[in-house]
Amino acid sequence: MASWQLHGKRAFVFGNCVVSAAIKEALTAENVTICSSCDDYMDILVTVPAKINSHYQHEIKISDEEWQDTMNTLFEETRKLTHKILPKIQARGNGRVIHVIGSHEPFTFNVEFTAWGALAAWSKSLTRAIGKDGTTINLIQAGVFKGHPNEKHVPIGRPCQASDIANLVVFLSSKYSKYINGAIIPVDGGLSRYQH
Amino acid sequence: MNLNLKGKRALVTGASNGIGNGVAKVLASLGVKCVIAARRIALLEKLADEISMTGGVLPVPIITDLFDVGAADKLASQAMEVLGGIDILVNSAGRSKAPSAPRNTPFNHPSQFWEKELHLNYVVIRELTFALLPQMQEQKYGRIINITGKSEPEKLGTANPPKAAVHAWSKGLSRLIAQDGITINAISPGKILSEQILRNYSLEERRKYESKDIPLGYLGSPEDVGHLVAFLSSANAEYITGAVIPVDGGFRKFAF
Repeated sequence: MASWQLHGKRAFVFGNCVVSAAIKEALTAENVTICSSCDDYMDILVTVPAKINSHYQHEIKISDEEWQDTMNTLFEETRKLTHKILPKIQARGNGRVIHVIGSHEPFTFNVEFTAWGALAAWSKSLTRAIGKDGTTINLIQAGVFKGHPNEKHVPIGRPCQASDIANLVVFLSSKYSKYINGAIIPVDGGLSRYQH
Repeated sequence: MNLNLKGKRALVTGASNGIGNGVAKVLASLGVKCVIAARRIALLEKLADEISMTGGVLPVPIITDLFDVGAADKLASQAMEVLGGIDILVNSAGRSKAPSAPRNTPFNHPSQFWEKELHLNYVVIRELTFALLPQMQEQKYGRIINITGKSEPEKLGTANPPKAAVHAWSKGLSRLIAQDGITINAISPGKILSEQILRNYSLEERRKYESKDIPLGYLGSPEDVGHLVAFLSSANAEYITGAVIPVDGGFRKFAF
């Protein structure tokens, strides 16, 4: 039942995986129009990275190209897209920017963690440049999904599901979250060690 | 906001004013039966009237002074008796400083005053939580939400250490109770318009916060915190535990 008063809002969901699909479905159920192009005007931008569940260890001699490629995919693409879209969101006011990231507690050596750290610092600093129009920027730090070796360490006892993320996206998209800004909210079943 | 909270039972401390007051209003409007606890009965009765006039579930006021010895256990059992069980505990009683304390805490601030703030802002929260946990474990559902503060001490203060203690304590506890259907989270509010903020900061200081320190450019409302409490209380947030979530308009500086 649509109940978050999101009727008439327009969202662009960047990503192509089960998580972005679940987010689109949840927003659609709330009568949000999902934009097919980032050139449309919109109120809500949600980004879901291409890789969120990787668990391999990079070699220290990783090539600069591979390093840069991953940084581009996980950080630069999100940053560029956001900078491009933000003016359109701000023009409508009370917009929402929501980035899904993976854990940035590095349990191994992997470029991914650097990307999440960059995303967190960049997006916090961005809140200092915008906001007076009511637009908020927040991050959702996802836990580990099925098949991840840390799955057995999740305190709640099950891996993260796409709907866990989608539920929070709907809340953060709504007017009920209007004073939450610059936050990183873990949706990880208690997996992360640090309390933040 | 449809969170399927109808029929849930909550204990909200510090409900006479400020954040606790806003939390009770939001929960009651969503069909939650609340025990509202605080020292000032007249304010609790006023809140109950307001809630019932706006169509919320009529809450039950209980007078308590959490500084009294054994107050937490007594309040827990009174609330259990009234509601028949507790699904949601919102520890909202707390303060950034005692009304009579100096604006700037000196390093030789008497020890008994430090102890007193530690008691209200941490010990009572722990005691109330532990008193209600067994019943939550039995019913395999519980939501514990602690209203704390940002862990970014701007100066020496009596509230920062206990609020940081709550963050660390609840992270540890979250692991122990995660498989019982119980989540425990903290909300760290920024500058929320309340009796305490009005008492502690002049209009000029509040304006300065709004223009310089808060990206959104305004002070929040108790209901802003209440809405997150409601979300965390619901099944929609069952995978969120051990978190500290700011509701501060972007006030907090730390990025991670």
